[in-house]
Amino acid sequence: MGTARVHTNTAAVTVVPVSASDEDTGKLESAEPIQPIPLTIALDPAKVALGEKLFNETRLSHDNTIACATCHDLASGGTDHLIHSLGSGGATGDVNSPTVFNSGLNFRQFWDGRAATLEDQIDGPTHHPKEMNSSWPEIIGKLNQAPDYVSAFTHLYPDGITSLTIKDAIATFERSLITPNSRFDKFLRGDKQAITNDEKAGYALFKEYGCVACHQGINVGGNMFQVLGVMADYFKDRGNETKADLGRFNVTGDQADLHTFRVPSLRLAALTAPYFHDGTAKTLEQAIDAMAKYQLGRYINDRDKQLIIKFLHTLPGEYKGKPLL
Amino acid sequence: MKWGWLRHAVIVGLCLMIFVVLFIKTQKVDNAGHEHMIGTIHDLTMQDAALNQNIIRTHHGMLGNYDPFVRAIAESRELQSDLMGNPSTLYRKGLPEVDKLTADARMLLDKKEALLESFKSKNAILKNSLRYFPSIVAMTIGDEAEDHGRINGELKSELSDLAVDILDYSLSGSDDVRMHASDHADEILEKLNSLSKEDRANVELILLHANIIVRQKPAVDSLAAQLLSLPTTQVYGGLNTAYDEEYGRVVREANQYRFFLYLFPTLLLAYIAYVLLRLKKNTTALHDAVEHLELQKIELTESREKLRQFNKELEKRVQERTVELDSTNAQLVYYLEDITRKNEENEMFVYSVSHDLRSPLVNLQGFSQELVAVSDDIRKLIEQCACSEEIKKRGLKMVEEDMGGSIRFIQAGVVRLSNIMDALLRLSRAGRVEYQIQHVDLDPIISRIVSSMQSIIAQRGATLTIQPLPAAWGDPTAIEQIFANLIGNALNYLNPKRPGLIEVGCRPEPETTANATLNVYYVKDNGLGISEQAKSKLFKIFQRMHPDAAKGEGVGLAIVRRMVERHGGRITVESTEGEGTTFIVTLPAEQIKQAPIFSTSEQATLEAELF
Repeated sequence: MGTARVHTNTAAVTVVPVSASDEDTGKLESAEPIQPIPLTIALDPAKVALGEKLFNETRLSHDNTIACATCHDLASGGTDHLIHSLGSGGATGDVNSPTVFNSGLNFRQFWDGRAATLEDQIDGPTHHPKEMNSSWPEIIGKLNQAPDYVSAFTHLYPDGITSLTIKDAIATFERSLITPNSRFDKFLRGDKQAITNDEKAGYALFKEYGCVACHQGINVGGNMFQVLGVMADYFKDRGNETKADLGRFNVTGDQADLHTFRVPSLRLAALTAPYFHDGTAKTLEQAIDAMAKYQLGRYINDRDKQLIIKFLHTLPGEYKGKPLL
Repeated sequence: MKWGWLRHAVIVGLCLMIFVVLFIKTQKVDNAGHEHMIGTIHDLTMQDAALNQNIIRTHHGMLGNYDPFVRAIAESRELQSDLMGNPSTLYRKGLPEVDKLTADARMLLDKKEALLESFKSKNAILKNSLRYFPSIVAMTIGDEAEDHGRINGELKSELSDLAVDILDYSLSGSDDVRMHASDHADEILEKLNSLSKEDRANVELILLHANIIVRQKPAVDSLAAQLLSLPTTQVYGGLNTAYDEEYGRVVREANQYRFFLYLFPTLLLAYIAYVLLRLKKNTTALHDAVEHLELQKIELTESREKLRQFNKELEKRVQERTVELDSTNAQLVYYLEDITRKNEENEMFVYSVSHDLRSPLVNLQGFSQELVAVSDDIRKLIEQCACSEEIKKRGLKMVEEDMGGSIRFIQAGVVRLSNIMDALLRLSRAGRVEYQIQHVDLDPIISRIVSSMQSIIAQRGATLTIQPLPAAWGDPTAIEQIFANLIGNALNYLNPKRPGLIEVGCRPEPETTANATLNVYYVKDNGLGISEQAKSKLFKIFQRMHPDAAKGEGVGLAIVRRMVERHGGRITVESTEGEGTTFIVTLPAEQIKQAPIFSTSEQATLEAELF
């Protein structure tokens, strides 16, 4: 999957592509624009464990204050609910922290999609001066002083502690952060009673209004780019345009990519306010209103909006067998 | 032999090396690797085909979501990086064409992904507007709306026409239709102000979505066309062909090597067979040679046996001969002893005869003297007697002539007998006397001899020339006798008709025998000489060549010869009758290594002398 090739000691472990299994696809694919998250994903538990430890490791940041989990709190929907996360030395980030849950199901990472894989993504926050503000030599140096890391890495990777192995471990852990078995997935899998009639109506409206044109697939989003402000100028209306608002243009330099962002997953939208890359939508209502205006060019009434919100609440699944809060 | 083995070892080593090289060469064909590559390309092609199919489906609004696109791109990327990894040994060296095509494929995928992202975004927008456009038009100018009576007349028909044109355009993409739609939109825009707020918002939305459709439709069409026209299939096909061709080439090359790989053991086996055959042949030859050698050995043994037997026989014969010789020797020794004994007996006989004859001879001498005295007395008596003169005369005559004559005859015979006996005793003594062997200086001896003979030399009027002589090894008395005798003889037998010349000397080159170095002395004269027939009897006893020339018993030279031979030398004579004689005597110059006790010739000589 990734471009980074990592040698693994345990040959028995294979990382399966993050996609719906054959069982999930096929007949459902053509029937519904949304697919259920696979119930299990085959990963090396030792790497997952090491990755989890690293995910919570503040030594990855320059001043030993920030861990991945600082902004991507797994107990809180995989995000920090802040408009802009607080980074190393109290700096605030440029964009809203997306949830780490189901990030492995996204086709690219970051709002502007500049990282093709989770491994590549890790280079971002660790080095960003407003985030962890560190560097690989610093991180490796710190980890090499911790015997438990040294032995864990040596056990799992012939190369020991390197930037590649650190990223591999963390990315492996992140791939394990899926939220399957949501009520909606159960519905998709044939349990017609898994969601209420209102929720079914919400889903119908979700499709009817065209939300599903972008928020679709296994992750209900996260599989395409889209311009923010198709029908109206979002940034003119909001004002105070920043560099981060240029979106994918910052990556490609292509005028066509101006204000283009990766379409976010709505899997945990019910749990991960605020919304949008700028965190300006505090509630789902606000987010839906904005989307209707700038993306769909239509008006969604309150009733439909509430139904859609009800539908969105059927999307969060379980992590480690427990419903997400 | 050693080199032979080394050569074989080198050949075998080379063969093994060639074999290994050939084997490695044949192993270049990596079927699994090739299948993997071809499979990967096939998967890529299929993936691309599926992607294109999905693009078409999406383009026509039939696909539910974009996950298949994401998967297709991700999987294509994976397959391509697999391809780039070139796991097959076939392509490890990097073929320019394959590398180029692989790079092209990657580039195309990048391009496809970029176009696809754009396509996904724009398509989503277009499809939403297309879906929403008819419903908002219907909502604005439909029957329900008409009931409210808000939009009527020209505007309604313009909106209706716009809707038709937009939908037509969405299907046909015709520029004419788009122009018409644009015209309608302009008309509608002019009449916006006359509308209620709600209607105006709706109409604005209609125009917005119409605009979206008109703007996005060609973009989406163009993107779809670009996506579908990307030469991915050609590139993958080219890659497939390139791989296949390379595979074919490698297989052909490997097959060539394989041919040699199969040929090689055959040749090797043939060679081994040849070597074995030759070895066998050699072994046979060796065997033959060994047999031959054994045969020769047997022959040799036989020959050796024969030789041994011959030797044995020879030894036997030698032994026999030795025994024979021993017996002969013993016989000879016996004879010698016998001869010696006989010689001694002879000498004793000669001595005793001489001695025994001496007494009667003395008697004969004495009584013959008496007879002389008696005949004197008788003569006196006859003179005194007064007998007739006749008687007197007759008587005297009888006494003087008959008696006196007889007495003289007797006396002469006695003297002669006495001389013979003396000679015999001398000869006997010459054989028996013990020698005092020593270094003998000859010069004083010769001087002594010459001085003792001075009177006779003077008498004969001879001239003696004495050369300095080298010393000899022997008995001084015997040597003096030898030279005295020879010089005496020379003086005795000088020719009276000419002045005598006698020379005593020594030849410069000594004679060398096994036992000794012999000085060659000579005594040369210009005397009477010796006739040829006399020469043979010269050294025999009682032989005289010139009885008239000098008195003697004829034993001198016999004694000389005996003495010379007792010294281990020899005496010879060279003579021409009437011219002179040279006696040559060889005597040892130094001590003889093995002094001869006797020599057969000496013994023979003695016997010859005597008998």
